[in-house]
Amino acid sequence: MESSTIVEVSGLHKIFQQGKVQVHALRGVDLDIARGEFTAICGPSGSGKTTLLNLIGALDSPTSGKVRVAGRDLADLSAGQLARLRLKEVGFVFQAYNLVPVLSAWENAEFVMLLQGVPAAERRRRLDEVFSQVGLTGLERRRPSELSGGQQQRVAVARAVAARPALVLADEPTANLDSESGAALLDMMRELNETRQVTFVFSTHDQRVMDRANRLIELRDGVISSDERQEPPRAAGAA
Amino acid sequence: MLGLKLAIRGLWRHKVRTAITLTALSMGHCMGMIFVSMNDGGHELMIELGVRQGRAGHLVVQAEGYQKSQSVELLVDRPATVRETLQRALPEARVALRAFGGGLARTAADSVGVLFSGVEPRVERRVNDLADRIERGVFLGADALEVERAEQKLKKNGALWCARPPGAEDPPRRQALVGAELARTLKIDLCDGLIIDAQGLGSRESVRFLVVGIFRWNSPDLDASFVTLDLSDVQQMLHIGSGVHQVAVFLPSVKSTADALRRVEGRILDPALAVLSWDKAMPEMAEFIWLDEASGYVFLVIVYLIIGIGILNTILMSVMERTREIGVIRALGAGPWRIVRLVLSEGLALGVLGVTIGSLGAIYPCWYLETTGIDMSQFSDAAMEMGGLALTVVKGKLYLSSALWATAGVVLMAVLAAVYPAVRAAKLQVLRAIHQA
Repeated sequence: MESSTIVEVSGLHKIFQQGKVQVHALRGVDLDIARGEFTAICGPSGSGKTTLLNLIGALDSPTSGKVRVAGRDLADLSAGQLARLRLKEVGFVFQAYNLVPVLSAWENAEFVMLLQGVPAAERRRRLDEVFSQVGLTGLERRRPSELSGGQQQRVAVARAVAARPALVLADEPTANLDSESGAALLDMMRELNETRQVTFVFSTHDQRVMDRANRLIELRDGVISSDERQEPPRAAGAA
Repeated sequence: MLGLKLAIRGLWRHKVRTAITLTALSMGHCMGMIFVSMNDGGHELMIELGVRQGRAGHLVVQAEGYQKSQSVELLVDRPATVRETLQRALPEARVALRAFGGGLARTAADSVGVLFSGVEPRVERRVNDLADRIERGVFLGADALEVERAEQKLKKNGALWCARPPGAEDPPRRQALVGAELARTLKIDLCDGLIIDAQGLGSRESVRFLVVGIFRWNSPDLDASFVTLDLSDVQQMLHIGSGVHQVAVFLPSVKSTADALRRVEGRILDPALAVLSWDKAMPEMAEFIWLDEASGYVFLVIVYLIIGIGILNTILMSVMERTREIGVIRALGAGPWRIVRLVLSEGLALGVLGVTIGSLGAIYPCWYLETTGIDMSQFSDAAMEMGGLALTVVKGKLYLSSALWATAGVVLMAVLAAVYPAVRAAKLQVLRAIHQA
């Protein structure tokens, strides 16, 4: 039976060596995230938000402590197995979009599904649906350089959700967007969360993101200083 | 497909750099194809010249041990049976019988050690280039018309009285073809007498021949010391009865030698006989060709390696410039092997594009070389001599198998050149790569 917890973090420490100085980015974080949550991790710069997301997303390894994603202990997995876990279970939305510049919007969004081996007809069906949902219809053939920041971030979200991951990790997704684009993107992600039960975990400084989250975790100096559940406003398009 | 699409677009990102690399690659491949064509064509020409100079064939049947000792007594005793067997196994081939010997050729002026061969004139005309190499006079056993034409050419009636077909009352005349240098040394001309002293199976014989033709191969050995005689005259002179020293087989192409050898070997059941292919019958030439081929291919490999370094540089730069992109692809779930395949695809794309352009560029020069060739006499008064053979016009010959090997070699080299950048890309630390500016 599928566990209701998608992320389990316990006793997580991360120390970076910067020259002769050791920087404690995380100092014993314990955290469980349930499937379907829309969680925002907030805190000042340097509090460890991005480090925590990177560790959950298997992009980095902890100095000590455990991270389990979809029931699998990341410490037990090889580089190839970690790649497969990211491919099947985790979607990423980066602050800097990180789209592949030589691919069109459609091809970028299709990319992870191609890696997953999703058949062509199914890829097309999913992308038609997601592009309509994120408001990118008509922009399919454009390259990233021909899209605005908001549009690029929408492509990044489409890439993350079209692959049907259990978990989407978004690192400051609205940081480079104007307020209107940011709000539209958040509405869209909230709708995806409510309609598809995709688990979203954000790191953010943005009050609008915090307001829309149903769980708000605050990190300070590498430890969780508060963890609150709240009733967010429902997404505009949600039933 | 995804890898190839990314590879092609990745290469297209830096058009000038890719164009320079592609130019080097395609020119290298084009030159390689021309080189292979000249190599194969030149060697094939050498083999054909070799087998058509009257000493060997594409295949030869000889007595076991004759190749090494060249002893007069090592004979093919029943050549007619062997010829029939060979002709049944290889209906497309021509078969010639020959006897060889050595002796002293003398005139009143001088004497010279010579090698001689006895041939069947009618068969030999069709398998041997000697008839085309006759500078003055006619081939053995010429008919009246041929003699008349030769005399017209010489502008001297009666110059070839000795070559005229004998009337019923005339005794058959022993005819000889001699090399131009030998004729000069012995101070003889057409219809002069030439005495050959030779030791056969019986007593030592001295036989007088009449010179009906003087040939020039442009080969110092052949022109200065070789005499061609009628087979029956040599058999009498050497007391070898109906035996011969060699049954030579001539195939439509040297490329079919191995297949013909397989077809013949099981049919020559006499353990006293050996079937040899041209490379065993002419080991010095085979060795020369092998060495020439090996040194040529070493040179080609060096050229390809230099091009490979260019490809490596292009792909390595491309990978380093895309560190962040590769990091993102890894983060999205591509494993290390996927990255290796992605980068190798770039090498493959470069290789395939390069050989396509290079092959298109090689079509005309290869066609020209195959149909017209290069006349070596343009560069020197004397013909070019390779492996003891005089080559005048060297033609190219590009076999599909050689072209495919050369093409596959270039594509493989391009893929191999991408291995180091591919491994380097696969080893990138995902997080560090993503944060690379």
